[in-house]
Amino acid sequence: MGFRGYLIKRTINTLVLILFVILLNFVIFELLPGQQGSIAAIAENPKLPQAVRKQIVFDEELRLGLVCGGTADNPVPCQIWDKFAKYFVAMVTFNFGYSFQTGNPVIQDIVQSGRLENTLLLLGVSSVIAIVVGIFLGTLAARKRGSMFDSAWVTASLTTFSLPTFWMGLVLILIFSFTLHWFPTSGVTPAEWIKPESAPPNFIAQIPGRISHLFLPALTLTLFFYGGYLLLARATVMEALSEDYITTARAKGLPERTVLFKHALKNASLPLVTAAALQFGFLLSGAIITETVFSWDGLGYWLYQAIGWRDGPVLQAMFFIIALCVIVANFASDILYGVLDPRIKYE
Amino acid sequence: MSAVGLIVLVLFSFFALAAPLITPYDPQHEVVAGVYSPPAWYRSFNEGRLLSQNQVLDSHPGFKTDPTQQGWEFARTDSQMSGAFDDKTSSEPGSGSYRLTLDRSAGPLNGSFTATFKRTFDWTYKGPPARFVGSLQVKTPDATPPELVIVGSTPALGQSLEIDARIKYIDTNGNAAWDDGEPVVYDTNSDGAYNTGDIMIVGVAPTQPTQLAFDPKLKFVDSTGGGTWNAGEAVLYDRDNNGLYGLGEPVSVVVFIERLGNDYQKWDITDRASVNTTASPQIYNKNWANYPLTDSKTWQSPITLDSLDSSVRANLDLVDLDPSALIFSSPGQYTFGVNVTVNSNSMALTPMNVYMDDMNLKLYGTSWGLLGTDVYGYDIWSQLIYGARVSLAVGLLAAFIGIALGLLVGLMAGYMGNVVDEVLMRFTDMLLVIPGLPLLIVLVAVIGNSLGPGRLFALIVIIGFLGWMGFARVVRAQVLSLKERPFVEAAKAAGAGAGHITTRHIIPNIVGLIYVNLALAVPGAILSEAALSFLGLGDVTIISWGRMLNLVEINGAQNIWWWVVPPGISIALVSLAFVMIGFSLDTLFNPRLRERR
Repeated sequence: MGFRGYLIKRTINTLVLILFVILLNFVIFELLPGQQGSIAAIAENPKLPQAVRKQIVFDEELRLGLVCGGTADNPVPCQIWDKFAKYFVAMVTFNFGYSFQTGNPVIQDIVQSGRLENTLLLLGVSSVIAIVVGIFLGTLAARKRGSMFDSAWVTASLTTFSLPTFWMGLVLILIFSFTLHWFPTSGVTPAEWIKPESAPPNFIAQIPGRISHLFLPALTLTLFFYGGYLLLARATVMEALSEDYITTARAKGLPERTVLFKHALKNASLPLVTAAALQFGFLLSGAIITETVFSWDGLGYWLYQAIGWRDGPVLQAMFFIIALCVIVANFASDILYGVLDPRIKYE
Repeated sequence: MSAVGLIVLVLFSFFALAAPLITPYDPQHEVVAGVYSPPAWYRSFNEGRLLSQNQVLDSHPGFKTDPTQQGWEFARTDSQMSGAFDDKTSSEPGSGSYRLTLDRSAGPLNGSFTATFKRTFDWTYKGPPARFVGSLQVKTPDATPPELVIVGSTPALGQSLEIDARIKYIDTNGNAAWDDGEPVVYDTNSDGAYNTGDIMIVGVAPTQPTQLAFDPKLKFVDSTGGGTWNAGEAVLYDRDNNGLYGLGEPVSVVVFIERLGNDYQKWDITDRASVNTTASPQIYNKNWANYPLTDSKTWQSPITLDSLDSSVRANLDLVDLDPSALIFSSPGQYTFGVNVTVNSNSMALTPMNVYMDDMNLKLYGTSWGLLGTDVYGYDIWSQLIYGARVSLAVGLLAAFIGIALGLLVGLMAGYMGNVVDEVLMRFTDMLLVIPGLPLLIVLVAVIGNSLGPGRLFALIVIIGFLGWMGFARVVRAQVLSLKERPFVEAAKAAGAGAGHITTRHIIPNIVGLIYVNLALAVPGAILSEAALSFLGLGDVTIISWGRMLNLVEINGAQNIWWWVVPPGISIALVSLAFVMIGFSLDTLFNPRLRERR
């Protein structure tokens, strides 16, 4: 099988996974009792005549896919397949319904509210820093294997692994906000920008305020997962350092820095690149918690608020989108692996 | 490394198992000190030098023995007042009370008579307490008025009566039956005032100006019910319109705190109304005391004077200032006590008794215990100890469920192979790709609401059911290699069935793997529970480490370091301990990982 066959196989696999997620979502949210709440309110409203009530309830059930046709007096119950087909189409077309909380279409709240940008900003900044710092430190640790530097950083990354993300965030707030007063505790922008009477400053003038708000959440997320890269880089570089071409490079009299970063790290970079894609799901979980701790108005914080509101449409939309991102990232990592490593055998 | 892990684990397991023995306080319901009190040891730092600690005036409240032997003092202003311990009368069975008596046996006494019952104590801390709560139970003589309302001589003060309907109907025909709506007249000259010489009549308020004639029958009312009309009886009305013709309380009890020394000051923290059970109307003529005031059968509801209550602040005329900060502004001697005033101008000769019981003053310190207090004044150390129970239980049980499931799936896939293997592993892979925490959140958010009390158990099961995939893969790989080994073939040749081979030959060979993965699965489960609880999806009736941090977040208490730091450290320590033990077990069971000596 060539690369093309591999691609086709991966694509099919990915599509099956997406179907699985929709099925999972369907099963979970069929159980959600909140959905029937609004119908119950109508059904018990004494102001409406009996016939009208019945008709409204029927229309509502029809819309929610609880019945599938017939008349108000003689409704036709849904077959599970009809229901799933409706649900499937809704999910695939990103038609998630309306948020209980805002009353807007969920997809509009995701795309147009600025939450997506906020989340992407936070994730982008912290993942770039975590990857660069993690790989750099991991490479150095591999070079100085067994030294104090090595064991200190290995211990540090294992420790940050064991710490709950939200607690790291709380402690950073405690230190940097309440004790040192360096950074604000929460929010995406300074509170006074949101007030209607004062227009937010222009883009350049916004930068310091935005950075001071971004600093602590980004630091939390960075601490959350730099350790994974550090350990992975350490392991792969260590392996690469034992290869013959490193001995050759050293024998040529190349400076150690060149040997380490040009020869060893470059050859060890393949698992790191794919890990970056695979870490995505992990990263999103960290983002939910971090955004909650810092009231960072992104998608994760919105998911947290949706829990409190029992906002079924938002919960299922968020879960679907997060799962979709992870699946796509996985797919990308598989393809990347195939493209980057010519030695790979497609099976 | 494993030794450190084991020590940490043993320590926390001990905390979890022996929680009620280690700490006597209820972690979620018992106020132990002021809110947000830092730990007591913080007092030895410069920043904490102004912090105070709890102090209780009487550590054995209830006056089971003579309180004057234990530091309480009786002091009288008037010689007719006396005080004594009474072991027969008490607010609760088996103890006693302190009795203040106005002795009227020598003849009628007119006027107010006062005595004080108090206790002096030292406040040694440089800073004030967070809160004080004074408590007291009182039994005053029965002040139930006679059923008669009296009309007679005019109100002594010549005051204008504005709302006459509040006055009870009186017997206009003198035959002892009280009719509603009898015509009632007053203010004979219609000047709107009850002047001397006017006749008081009571009933439904007539429209002004009244034209009712003077009725001599109304002049006096039978105050004893015996048919004799006495001149000069008091006039009583229901001034606060509560339907009670209160005679006014014959006794007033005022609780006070005094600061002794150079900057002497006294604060009355009650007014009369807050001690008496019924609001006390001012009456025009205190002749009510004609009625014999007998000992009441029931105690008045216990008085609690909490410095956080607005009524106490109102009595002290404080709006923003904390009463405890005002009163205990400097270290020194203080007195907590009551002033009891007995009003008498009675003809009666019976003694009037006032009983007091359960008198105490609790001062809540601004520092507490090992780890201080939270937003409600609950003990954080207790929360940490009880939280260890939940976190360890969730971690171990969920990990156990996950490992058991993983073992089952791995064994089935590995041993049966073919289609079963293919299907199970595809499913496993799919679940592995789906991000764990969002799935947990969604599941718990949807299912959790319908669970109620079983929520913690549901959490354990859900975490366990989402934690088997990795181990299933590991087991499958092992089984695939094990089942090709000669000893399995030998067993097969000897006629052993699948069950026998699995339990006797395969599982014993992966038992080390089971232990290692069990140890390594626990931290994940603990962290999952903590994250879910932090997001408010846990069981809010049970305190866990995640719930503690959830409370920090909800209450915006990120600056309270003694509340933020301990739960996180505990989670990290326990997680690390399990990781260390897992690694050590791995080296133990897997000889290839051991370093060559």
